[in-house]
Amino acid sequence: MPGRRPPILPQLPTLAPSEVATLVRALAHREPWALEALEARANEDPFDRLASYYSAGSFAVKSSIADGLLNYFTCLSPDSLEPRTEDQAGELQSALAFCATILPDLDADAAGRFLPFLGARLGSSDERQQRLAAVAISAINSLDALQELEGEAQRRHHPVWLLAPLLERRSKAAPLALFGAIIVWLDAALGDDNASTALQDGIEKMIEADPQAAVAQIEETLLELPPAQQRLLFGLIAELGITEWSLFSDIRSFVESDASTSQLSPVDLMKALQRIYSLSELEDTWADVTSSWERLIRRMPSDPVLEQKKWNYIKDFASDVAPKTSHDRFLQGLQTVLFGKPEARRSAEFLREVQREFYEAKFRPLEGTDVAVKTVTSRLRSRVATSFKHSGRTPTQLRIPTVIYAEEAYMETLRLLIAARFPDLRIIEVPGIPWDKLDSALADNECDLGLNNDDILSYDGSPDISLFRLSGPPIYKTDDFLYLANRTFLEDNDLGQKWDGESARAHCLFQHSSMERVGTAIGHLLQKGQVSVPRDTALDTKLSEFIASLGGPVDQIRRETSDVGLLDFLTGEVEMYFGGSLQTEYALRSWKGAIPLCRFSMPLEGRLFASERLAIDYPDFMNDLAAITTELHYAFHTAVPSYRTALGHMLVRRLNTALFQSSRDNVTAVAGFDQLRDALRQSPLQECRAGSRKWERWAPTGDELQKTHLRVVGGKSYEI
Amino acid sequence: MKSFEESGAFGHYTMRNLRADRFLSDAAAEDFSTVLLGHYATNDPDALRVDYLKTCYSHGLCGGEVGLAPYPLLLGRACDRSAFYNMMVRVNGVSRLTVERLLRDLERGRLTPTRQRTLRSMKMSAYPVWITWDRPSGGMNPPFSFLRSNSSYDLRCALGLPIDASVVSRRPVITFEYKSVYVSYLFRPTTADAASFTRFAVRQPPPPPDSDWFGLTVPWQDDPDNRLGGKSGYPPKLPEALHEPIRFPPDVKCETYYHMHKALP
Repeated sequence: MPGRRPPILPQLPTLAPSEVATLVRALAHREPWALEALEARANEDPFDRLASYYSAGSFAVKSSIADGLLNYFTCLSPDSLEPRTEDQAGELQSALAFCATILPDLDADAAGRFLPFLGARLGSSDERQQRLAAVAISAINSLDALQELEGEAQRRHHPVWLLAPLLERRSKAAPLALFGAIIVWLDAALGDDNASTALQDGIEKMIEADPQAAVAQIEETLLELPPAQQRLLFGLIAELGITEWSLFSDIRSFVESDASTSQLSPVDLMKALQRIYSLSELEDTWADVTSSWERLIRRMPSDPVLEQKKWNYIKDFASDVAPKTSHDRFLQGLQTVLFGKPEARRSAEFLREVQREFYEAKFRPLEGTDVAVKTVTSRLRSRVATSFKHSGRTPTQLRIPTVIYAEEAYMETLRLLIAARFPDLRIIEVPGIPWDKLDSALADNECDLGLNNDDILSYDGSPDISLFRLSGPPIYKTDDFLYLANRTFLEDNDLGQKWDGESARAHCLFQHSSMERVGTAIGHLLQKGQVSVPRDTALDTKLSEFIASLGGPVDQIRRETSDVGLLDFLTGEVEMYFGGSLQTEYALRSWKGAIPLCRFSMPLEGRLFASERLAIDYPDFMNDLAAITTELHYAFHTAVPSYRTALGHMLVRRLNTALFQSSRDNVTAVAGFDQLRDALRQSPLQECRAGSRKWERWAPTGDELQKTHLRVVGGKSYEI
Repeated sequence: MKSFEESGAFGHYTMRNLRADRFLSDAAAEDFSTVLLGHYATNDPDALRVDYLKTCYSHGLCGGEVGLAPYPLLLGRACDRSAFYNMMVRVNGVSRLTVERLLRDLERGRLTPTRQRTLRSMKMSAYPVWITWDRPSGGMNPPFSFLRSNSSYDLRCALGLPIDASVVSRRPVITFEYKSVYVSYLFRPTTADAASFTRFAVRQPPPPPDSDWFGLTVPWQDDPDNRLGGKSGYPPKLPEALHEPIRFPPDVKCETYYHMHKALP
């Protein structure tokens, strides 16, 4: 053919089979005259274009293309079948894929002619060839094809990649007999999305063929399976939305039965959790999710040992389902049911464990931590490695406190930037240093570097402490904090009629009101209830000042740690909450009884502080550190998908670890990067120019000492 | 070179593009010169074509980054549906029926979470991808909003997709719309990316250098079905660029266009 005018594809029907075979072979070998006939772009495979002519062609065209392909396959030399170069392998794979594409359109006899060749390729040592051959065989409608695949599955001990072709072939032969195959492969499909999709397709085909028989078959076997397989199968069925499934009604009757007399057996518990999980994956079933959780919790045993066992099962179940779900409605249902009641304090510890297991499993790196770290640090390294020159000494380690506030995400990002710039520097996270004790921790050499609100340190600082502060634009700025109130409490005090359902949660009740009006309302509410505020923080002082200035009852302020204060609010022990943004975001997200009352104006600036020892001993390093902070905004906000996903996973995991290690009273957890960013929206990172930040010696002096006095005695200072 | 240029449509359009191509990298331009000069004495158009295409394949995506800042928000890709199915089978090792089912559910917004995860794990292409966007809105509007009818014919005409046989021109076209954030870089198209595709043309006359950032499609003026003739400026020339192969983005939208004559409301 080369050397004369090549045919153009529309002439295909007029070509003799041998000419079509020549063309197909030439395409497989990427011969230019054949490519020209296709007008292929550099980014097109010639068989892609041929597929479009095949699909548009008449029966005669299809037959001649199929004949040509078969002719090409049968003429391949043994060397071509076990290619040694990438190009050779690509040519054969293209032809095999094209074969798999066209076979569904051929009748059994025409397609069956390919089986000997494809069967031989199934036994090839090249994995791509094996897979494409299996896919092609699955399109041949004959018992021989099925036997070929079954035999290979047994020989290779049921490899996951054979599952989809095998089920596809079987579904054409006898859809209702599919379930036997599905059961065999369940174990191999655990944690494999492609295999799970094949199973789901198989189940769908069974149900399409005969819904009643299919459901009866599944129900009969489902409860005999090991828990992990049960959950996989149950989840796949639930996603298909087969709500008329009778097992659902069995479980529904279980959860709706009288709680006082029936015993919650392990099987009951398993069934109820399966149902809740399935419902939580469906749309418009929120009421069912919460009512199912409510009934389950009501039936938990009172015996502590038995209760602990049941909660352990719930914990394991949560851990198992977390990676499979893209949201956390399963967990939210439990939170909603537990919060708002006094007995929630007893369940809080269990809830905390369930949350810990759920989020740890959800954010467990799928491909290992190193991949996420590598993705993030490689990008950050490209930002910081070329920007700064550093010739002086570098410390061997840097100790940075961890905190249980949203700002920890900024510090973790800074840690990553530092690690990218100084790969040999050991960064040690120091837990347990209270937010307001950073100054003394730096002075006592318990840590080297920390983030804090400038004015908090000034309130609490001692005049003889000398620290270093990063001057220039602050790391972040905060304008205000949300003040929360209990929905029932507001309704009882005639503030409930002003909103309609969910709208109150989207906007503050006093959205555009003056602070005077807000103060009057808060003063009024404090006559009837208490507010919890994190003790020894600027929030405490500010709120006390505000209430005192309006002549309100300052003794109604309950000062606790952030963890205890939030739990007091969520369990209804106090009626209002004024705390950190992470805790506030969690309360709003996990309990519908939390209502944002107002945005309480409170300008704060977040700055970095360092110990005197670090600043004096390593001046060059400190200059570098100042320069690195100008990259924080980029590092946190850049939207490159792979980087954003990796950073989000790392930050959420890091923050959850810090939260769950903080205290036994903590229930706060972060559900995802978006939630974390929501919490940080009120404290946005500040962009700044290179060189605009410098370290300077800093100590609380002058007027700030006066504030220190007020700060130490908190709200009571107004009475002195 | 002259004999190559006069050897047919391929040689003619190739030489026209090579002379005008401003986006070709220096290395690619040098390699093309070497190939053309190397075959000066041989007078063997077939051998020249072989070497020319090899050079094209080794210089994909050499046109430099599209200089638009920000990038168009929404990108569009359109392919002949059958060709796309074949690519999916080859690249992802799944059956055509699986691909058809996944894309049907994607188009109807009915993908189960499990199937969604599977689709997102699949490659959307094996090679660099030609894309377009809505030029009047700077990529804010959907990329194919220029269409006056939901016919695959109009789309093929606008993009210069194969339309050379009446049977193929009537085959469905599958389109994808996704956000540019899922793409690392957009590249300017070059003659090397076009290879033997004669429907590619270097943008002429060149726009001012500060806005010379992408190519333009070559709509079919000959309009084989004689359906669009007479409508001035329709279908419009669409901007075109390329990006590296990606997997299915999370919020990708899919739509199939069939050959029909129903006008859009």
